[in-house]
Amino acid sequence: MPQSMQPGDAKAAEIKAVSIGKTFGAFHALKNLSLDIGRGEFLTLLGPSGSGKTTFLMILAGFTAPTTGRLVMDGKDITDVPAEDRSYGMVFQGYALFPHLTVEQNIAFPLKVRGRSSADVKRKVGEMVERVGLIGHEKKLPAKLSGGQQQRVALARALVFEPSVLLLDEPFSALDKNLREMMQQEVKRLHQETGTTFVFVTHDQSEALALSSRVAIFNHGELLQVGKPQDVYERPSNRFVAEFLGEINLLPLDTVELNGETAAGKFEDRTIVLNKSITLAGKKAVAAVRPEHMFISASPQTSDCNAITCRVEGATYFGASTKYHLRTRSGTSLAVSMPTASTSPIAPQSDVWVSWPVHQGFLLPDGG
Amino acid sequence: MIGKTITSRKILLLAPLLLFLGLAYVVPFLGVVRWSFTMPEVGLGQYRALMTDPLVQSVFIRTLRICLIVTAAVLVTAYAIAYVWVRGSSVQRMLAEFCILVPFWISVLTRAFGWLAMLSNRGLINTWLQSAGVISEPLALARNELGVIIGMTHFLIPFAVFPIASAMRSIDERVLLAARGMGASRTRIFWTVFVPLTYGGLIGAALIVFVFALGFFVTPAILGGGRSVMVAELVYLRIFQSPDWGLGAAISVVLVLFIGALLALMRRFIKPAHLIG
Amino acid sequence: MNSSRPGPVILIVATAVALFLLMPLIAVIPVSFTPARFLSMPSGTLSLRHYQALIDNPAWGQSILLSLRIGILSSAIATALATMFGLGIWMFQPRFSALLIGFVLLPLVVPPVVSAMTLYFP
Ligand SMILES: Nc1ncnc2c1ncn2[C@@H]1O[C@H](COP(=O)(O)OP(=O)(O)OP(=O)(O)O)[C@@H](O)[C@H]1O
Ligand SMILES: [Mg+2]
Repeated sequence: MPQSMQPGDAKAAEIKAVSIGKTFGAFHALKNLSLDIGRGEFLTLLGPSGSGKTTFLMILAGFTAPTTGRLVMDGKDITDVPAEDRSYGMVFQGYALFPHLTVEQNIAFPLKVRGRSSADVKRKVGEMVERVGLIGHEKKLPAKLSGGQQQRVALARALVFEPSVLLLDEPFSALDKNLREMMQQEVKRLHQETGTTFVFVTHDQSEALALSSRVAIFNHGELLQVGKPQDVYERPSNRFVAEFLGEINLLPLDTVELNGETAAGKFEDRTIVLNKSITLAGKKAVAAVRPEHMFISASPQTSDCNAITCRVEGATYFGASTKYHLRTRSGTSLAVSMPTASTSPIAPQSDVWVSWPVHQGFLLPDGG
Repeated sequence: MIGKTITSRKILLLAPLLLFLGLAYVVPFLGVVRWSFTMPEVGLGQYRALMTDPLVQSVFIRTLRICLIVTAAVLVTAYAIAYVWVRGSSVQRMLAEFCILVPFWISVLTRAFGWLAMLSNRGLINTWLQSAGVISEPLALARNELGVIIGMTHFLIPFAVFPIASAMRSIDERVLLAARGMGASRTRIFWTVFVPLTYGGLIGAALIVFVFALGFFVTPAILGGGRSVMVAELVYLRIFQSPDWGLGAAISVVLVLFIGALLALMRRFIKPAHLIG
Repeated sequence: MNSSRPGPVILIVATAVALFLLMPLIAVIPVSFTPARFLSMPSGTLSLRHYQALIDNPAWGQSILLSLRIGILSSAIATALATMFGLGIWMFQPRFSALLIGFVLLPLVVPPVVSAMTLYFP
């Protein structure tokens, strides 16, 4: 928890990445990337495959040297410090456990490297085994463990030497959904207990939103936006971020007018009022609204709401929620997600009103 | 109908080699086994002789000793060059590959004579050392056990490089990175992570080298100069020179049984695919 | 990312091994130019007499030709048999394929002298 950490706490470090660039031959894997990672925070790097997340993590760990730019940790330039001297904890994609060592020996490895006394090693390993729930498995080789157990060993091994930073590269991508959610909670707990700075890579947006204190969204080697989960989800600064973080409805607007905090534009024959989270330079714009922020009703809601008319084309039942597929008069398709319990089924082909509160919609540049 | 054609096609493809080996190896070998019990007279006489004859005993012991020394020497040298071949820079890899493959393709006879030219009393090394004044009398490098060991080690290095390199290639790079990230030095990673992860390849290599070494004939015959006879040469001498077919056959049978038992015992370490790298 | 490039110790050992591997092959070349009749280093003068003998003495030419003929024939037969066998294993995956493969690899581990003796069997 960033708030509860004392500044200067040895267990958590603060890292500044300044204009980091990385090229592989002519290919730019990272482009002029600057990012401040706060002491004790849980920062998630989110982006599609090939966007440069692992490359950036490898540069943070010291396994790869950046082509340009500097890394500064707690005020010291560490760009040229090799990985073995940075000694961050690291959980690799695919765990990278030592296949020839038992669970216990895997966890003991970083302590032995540090020349700790065997009593100390034994105690620490015992503590860590208990903490990640591996009691009874100490003598097993990694090949004899389930995916989730291997993941726990990797976490224990990375945390046992109390590193100032823990780097995790898609640690849960090989786990099934239930195990994944369990491990996410476990990682969150470990973060709170240790107070260590966590940098977590994933391409799963819900994982990023659920775990992080901040999310950094990558695409094509560029950092598009950094912010708290709620901010990036509800106030994305561009269309890629908006679409990558979850399904979103986009309504093309005519004649956008900006006035103070809000913007207004015309969609079909109705005026739509939106939050103005970005500055537009007279370009075309779209109104963006998440499906779960919209609702369907027989008559238009007016108090602080926008409303448009649509025809229901179908519905998909998801258990807790039902998603309706609709089309506006001008042919734009929409999705609206509503709690199944609170609505009576809506017949297909009926004409309905779709409304949403003014503060839930925001403006995005068209096609950007 | 279809089942039948598949079966017949299967037989058509698999049978020729099996048949050939059966006729060219198995049946004749059974004949050799028979000799060992029947020549010169029916009974276990040859096996009894094999157990008691001090000459045969000393050859067996010498063979085992040479094979163990050669295996150890081959493993260490092959490991070093395999490491460069697998993990070196691209130039280093190319050079290593050249040095591994060129001797590999050259006949055992040429290589043995090459070593003789190197090691004999009038060979390169003694000529150089003498003309440099380091020694006055030539060193006894060939026509003895040392020469045999050198020649055999040289011959067998490539056979050990392939399984070792294959084991090295299958190491997950991230496991090594993980060790580095935890602060381990290169030396420590090498001894506590890298080498243990290649044990499988090392055992496979040791087995191949040891088994090949047991049956070595040309190299000991040329470089040993008749003074350090190994088991294969003994078989040859018994059969083709002092016609004593029964004893030669008995030694062959024991040798094959020994190799068979060794391979059966260690079969989980043998991966035929690794032989060629 | 490729972490463990060979360190100095391994490079020194590997270089020594590389030289060791090439040494006898390099040695045979000067020996072939020796003026002496026996296996020795040429001292002072080089001679092509052994190459001359290779051409003049019909025995050498005949044995080289014989080697070639045997080499070509036996490798052709071996390749044909092994290809068929390999195809058979690959296509049909017979029940005991591991055993069959083990069987055909046996000649590899049988000492050559035993093979020779085996084939000598009338
Ligand atoms: N060593 C390398 N040589 C050449 N190109 C590389 C190298 N490493 C990464 N790249 C390229 O850089 C880009 C970013 O790779 P990176 O592994 O950082 O992606 P990622 O965001 O981690 O993707 P994923 O989610 O699939 O793991 C990719 O296009 C990749 O092909
Ligand atoms: Mg990645």
